[in-house]
Amino acid sequence: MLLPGAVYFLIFHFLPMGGLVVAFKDYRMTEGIVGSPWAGLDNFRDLFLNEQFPNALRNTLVIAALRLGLGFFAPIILALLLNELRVRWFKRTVQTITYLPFFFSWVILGGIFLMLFSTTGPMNSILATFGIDPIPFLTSGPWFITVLVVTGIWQSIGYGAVIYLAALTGIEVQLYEAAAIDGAGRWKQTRHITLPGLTPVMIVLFILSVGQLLSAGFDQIYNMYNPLVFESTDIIDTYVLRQLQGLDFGVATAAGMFKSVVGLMLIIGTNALANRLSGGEQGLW
Amino acid sequence: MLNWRYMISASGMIVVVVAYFAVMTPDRESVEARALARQGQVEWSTVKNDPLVTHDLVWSFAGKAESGVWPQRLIEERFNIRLTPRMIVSGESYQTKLPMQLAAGDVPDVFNPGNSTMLRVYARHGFLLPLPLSMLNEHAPHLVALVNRYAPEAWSATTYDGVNYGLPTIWYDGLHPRTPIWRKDWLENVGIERTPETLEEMEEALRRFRNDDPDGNGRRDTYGMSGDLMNYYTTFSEVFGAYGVLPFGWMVVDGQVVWGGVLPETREALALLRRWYDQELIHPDFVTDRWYAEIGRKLYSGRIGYHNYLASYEAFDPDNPQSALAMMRRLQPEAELIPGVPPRGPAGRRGMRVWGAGNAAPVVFGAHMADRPEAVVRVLRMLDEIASDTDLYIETRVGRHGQHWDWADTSIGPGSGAAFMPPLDQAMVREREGFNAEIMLAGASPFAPIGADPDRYLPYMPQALVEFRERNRKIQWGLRDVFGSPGNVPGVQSSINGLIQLQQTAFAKIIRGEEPLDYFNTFVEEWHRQGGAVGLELAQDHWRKQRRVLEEMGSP
Repeated sequence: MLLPGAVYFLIFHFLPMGGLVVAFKDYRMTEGIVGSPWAGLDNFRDLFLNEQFPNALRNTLVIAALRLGLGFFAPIILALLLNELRVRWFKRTVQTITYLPFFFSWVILGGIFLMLFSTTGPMNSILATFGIDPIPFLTSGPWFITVLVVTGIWQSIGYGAVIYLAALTGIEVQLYEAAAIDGAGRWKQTRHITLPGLTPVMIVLFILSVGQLLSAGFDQIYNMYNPLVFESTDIIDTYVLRQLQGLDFGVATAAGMFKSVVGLMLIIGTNALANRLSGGEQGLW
Repeated sequence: MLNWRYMISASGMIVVVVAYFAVMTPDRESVEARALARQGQVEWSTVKNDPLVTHDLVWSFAGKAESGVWPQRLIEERFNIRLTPRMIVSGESYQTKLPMQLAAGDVPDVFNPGNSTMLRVYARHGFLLPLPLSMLNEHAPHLVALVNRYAPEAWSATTYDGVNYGLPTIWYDGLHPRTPIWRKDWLENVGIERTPETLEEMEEALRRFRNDDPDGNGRRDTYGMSGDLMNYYTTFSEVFGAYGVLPFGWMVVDGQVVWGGVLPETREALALLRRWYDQELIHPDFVTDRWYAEIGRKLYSGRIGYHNYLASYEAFDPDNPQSALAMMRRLQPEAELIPGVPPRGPAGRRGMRVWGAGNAAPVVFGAHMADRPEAVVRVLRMLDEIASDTDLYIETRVGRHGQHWDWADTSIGPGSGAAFMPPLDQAMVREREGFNAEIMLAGASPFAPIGADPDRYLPYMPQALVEFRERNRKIQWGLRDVFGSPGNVPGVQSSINGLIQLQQTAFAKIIRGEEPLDYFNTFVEEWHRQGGAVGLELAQDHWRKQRRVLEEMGSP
């Protein structure tokens, strides 16, 4: 029974990993992966020894950490709130509306947010009616990162909430009934039944999202940034894009390999930590 | 905890995978043959063009032309060749489909690489046949002379590692700048009768647009202009041009190649823009605006009264729903637009960036064509003949008079311009039948991918268009990068985009007053340190080499 799955992973996931040798080659399409001359660590040198790289790495970590720190809890809160709703049509409507932005591309969303947050845009017009001076949402580094993180959460919150809502249905109803008989209120039920029930899913999703720490959201940033925030939002992906002059597979593979290796280490590390803290029960493996 | 047995078996798997790839060794001989071809070891001077021999060619250009269409048969019969057209829809799919096709080993005999960046990439990967300039000069003298006359910088775009790989296509319209346009009714409302000609007049108009309520709504909610910092080719191009600089480009000053962005004149222009921003003549959103989107919308919705990158004959066509005038009228029916001129600066200079006539996609040959030099020569001679035979040139683009096209206004005849006859008046039908979607007499067409001297086709264009261009988009106002575009200098490709970003950030901070004007000096130092100094040396070296090549070909 394992065979079809194993064959699938072998052909489509493990065999292509052989392509990683391109990271150590001066790849020429006409000569193939094997025929291309070896480049040693030149591709990695091109990637790391540029003085813009440390800044790109730092920005990537800052933005991704913010996304992880704030964005991780947002869907949990939304799922918990939705779970408390008793009016079904309202719950479903909210769920659909929050899920919807997940399907929009950042090319479109970027244009909308640029308009919404511009100096003379609707957001600042609303603030102005309260007597607040225009806020440079798009042109000051910290504000721009705030916009990135908040709009990023807004876009993906519904998708995350669906997963938690599914996990919530798996919690036994008897537990709630027993707790209610014992006199536990809503808050106590949430704290002692719902949250512990969600913990395994939370840990799995956390471990997986930690692996994405070096991907700070290229689509979103590339469609929204501008010269005034290049310095604070130049991430590894935008940096690599600038380095590439089309089809320079060696450097692109080296960058991808770097991100994958770091991601793998983070996943292994987080998993080990989860095991240690929970006595070997909550890790992925 | 880590499962070491799992890790070991996984790494064992990777070793197996690498070994698998190692076994799949490509054919050694073909690799060497291609390597030889790359070095260009064809004795071109001994290659003869025998018109009786039929040559079969796989032909890949931008378009949707079907096989066996009229323009294809025209050149097949006349030049005794047989084409297998493999057209690729232009635009984004060209950038994704062609590389995949090439990587799969399916290299067309004659094709269009898309753009100069991709030409270099394909040359680096060994897909292209070197085309020595001496050979081009021998077999396509008209086309070489055309390039040398209108766009000598185009040779920079077809050269990789000191070897020429392409035959540039001349796109005459690229010599004409997209000049500014003004809100005519706003100018009248604030008491200005003549479109601004100088920087001072421009400043005065922009100031009145800001302060004198040009839309008469009683609120101070209008600005003079905006700007686009992300697309460097439009960034306040007319203001920098008034000081004689191309801020994002290589220029030649006193025989030396310089980068426009670090010149003292650029600092002067920045000082002026800084003042304009401080006086609120420039919209506060200019940093995030883009010329084709937000700036256009600001103009059409009456937030600003000036756009620096719109003027073309088409922009003022009220019948075309996509024209600037039509878009504007949809939101503001009473609005009127008028083309302006690049403003004259303190030293009497004016100008705007143009891409030049050599920025269109060149013609290249697959590296395997080294085995068929006669076919290469046939194609080059064919293209040269099309470019030097007016009737043939027109026929390859719009077909025969009376059969495919007629004068747009038959009562006027020539002067009203050639217009396709039904069913070719439908763009989709035209493309399928191997003609261009638009009546573009300049530049490439699917089966005749070269340009020609404008004198050959200008009589077939609407005279109103030709006159508009001569009056409002004068060639002498165009400022050209001496290499066509910043990345065309060999060796700067990995640093140039970073340097451009550095400059965009510095410009934004200086104009917005976030940094003092003296910050320009800091930027210049930083620019040199981050690769600009090396870039200047490379550019100077490249300039010397290009000059030598052009002199050898007898170009002025």
